[in-house]
Amino acid sequence: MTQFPAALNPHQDDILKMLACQTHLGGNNVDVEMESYTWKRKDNGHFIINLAKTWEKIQLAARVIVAIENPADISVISAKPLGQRAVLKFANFIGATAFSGRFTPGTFTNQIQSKFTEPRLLIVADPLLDKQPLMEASYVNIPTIALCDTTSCLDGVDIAIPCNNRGKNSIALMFWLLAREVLYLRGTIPRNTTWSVKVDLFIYRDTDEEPEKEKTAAVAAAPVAAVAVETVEFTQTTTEWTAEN
Amino acid sequence: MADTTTAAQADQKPTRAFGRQPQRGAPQRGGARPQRGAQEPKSWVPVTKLGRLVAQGLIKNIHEIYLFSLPIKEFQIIDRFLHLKDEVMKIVPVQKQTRAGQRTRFKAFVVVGDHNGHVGLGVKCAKEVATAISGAIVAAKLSVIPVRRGYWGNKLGAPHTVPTKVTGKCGSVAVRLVPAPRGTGIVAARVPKKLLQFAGVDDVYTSSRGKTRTMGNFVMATFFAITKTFAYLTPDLWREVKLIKTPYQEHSAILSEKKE
Repeated sequence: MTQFPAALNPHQDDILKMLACQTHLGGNNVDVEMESYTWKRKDNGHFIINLAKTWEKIQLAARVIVAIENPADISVISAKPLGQRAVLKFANFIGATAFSGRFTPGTFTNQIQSKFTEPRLLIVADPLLDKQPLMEASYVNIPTIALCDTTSCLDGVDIAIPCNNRGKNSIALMFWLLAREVLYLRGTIPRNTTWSVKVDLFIYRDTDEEPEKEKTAAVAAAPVAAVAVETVEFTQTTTEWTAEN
Repeated sequence: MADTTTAAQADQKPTRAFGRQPQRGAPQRGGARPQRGAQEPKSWVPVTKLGRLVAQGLIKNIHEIYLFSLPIKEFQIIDRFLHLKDEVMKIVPVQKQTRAGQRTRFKAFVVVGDHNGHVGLGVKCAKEVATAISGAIVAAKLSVIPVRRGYWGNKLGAPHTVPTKVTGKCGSVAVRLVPAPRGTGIVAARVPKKLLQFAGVDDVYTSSRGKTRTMGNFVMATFFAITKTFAYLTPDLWREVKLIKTPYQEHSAILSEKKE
């Protein structure tokens, strides 16, 4: 944290995005291992997550993801619906394999199962709800990255990204930031360019449950050019819908 | 002396046990062996990544697998690297009560080893003795573990005994293995002795505690003790070792090709 080169620092837009998505808002309690990621505790009891640390862990996680030669060997999982779209989009852009919905127990350990997979890396949206894949990963030597809240237990998690994993915007933003960082590292997108894909693409939508095609990515890109402060994100979702319909 | 006779007797023991059972056991057991041998080399289609790598010959030594603690799910992997002898330690009939009487199944304990540093222990329960035995052999192969041997005193010649005192526990049975000077032989009861012989340990003192008549627990306890020989951090292992890529990473390209 102290001696990183300036290039690794977050931009102001990134921090503003995080604040807008409320990724800094933790829960009422802290798990002992998450204590170092908190900044402060508000009067109402809620913890505030140190976004500098969130940024750092995203950087670290992205580097781990990039190190996997075959991106299809990366499994991204979200049991909870709030994270499913983000997980699918992430997998789309990175080339990973997404598991949404129920994680059938034995997917990593039962070699007889048709869905048997042997990933090299596991990314999980919530260590509590995605307990099953975390446990199975521990049986098969798979390192794990997880989006952890202040209340999350870090059993079986190798890299914890402290953030708010209860809000759909926050989850979306975290996966968006991860994806973007990976694409930067790979050189797919030049650094200091804004990524044409908007965070909105990763945000969970109640009505439409099917995974979308990449046309919508282009549509989402159309409305707004690189705007510094993205507090207007919520209205952009409506633009997207109208464009589709 | 006494060792050799017990070794000879041990082979006969299971058949004697069958004698007690209504003759289903004996003929099947004889029949099972030739079938097993014929199938293996031809029909194996690997299901796991590790299996694929081994089948292609990309992994030279089983210790590459042990180094990374990779779980071995297919017994053919072991067969590629090691020539193992197997021995049925015991067949126990176990029963479950049903409305229509008792349902008997047979539990087989099999020890597998190359008498030179690798042992495995397998337990399998099945309705027929032969199935139980072949299942137990598979289970034993999957559980094969490297055995670390060391010296009692001067480091002359090959390692012959356990490197340190180790103890394993299963159920109430605790088995302690203590290094012994060369020429001592395996000072142990029949059951752990068999296991230690298969492991390739030449000299040990043992001490056991608990209900050792529960053969299942007794064998497991010795097996755990033997497993611990490589889990123990001795000073000669203190030196840091360079990080090596795991076989999955090294052969990532080949593995990804096969999928498509």
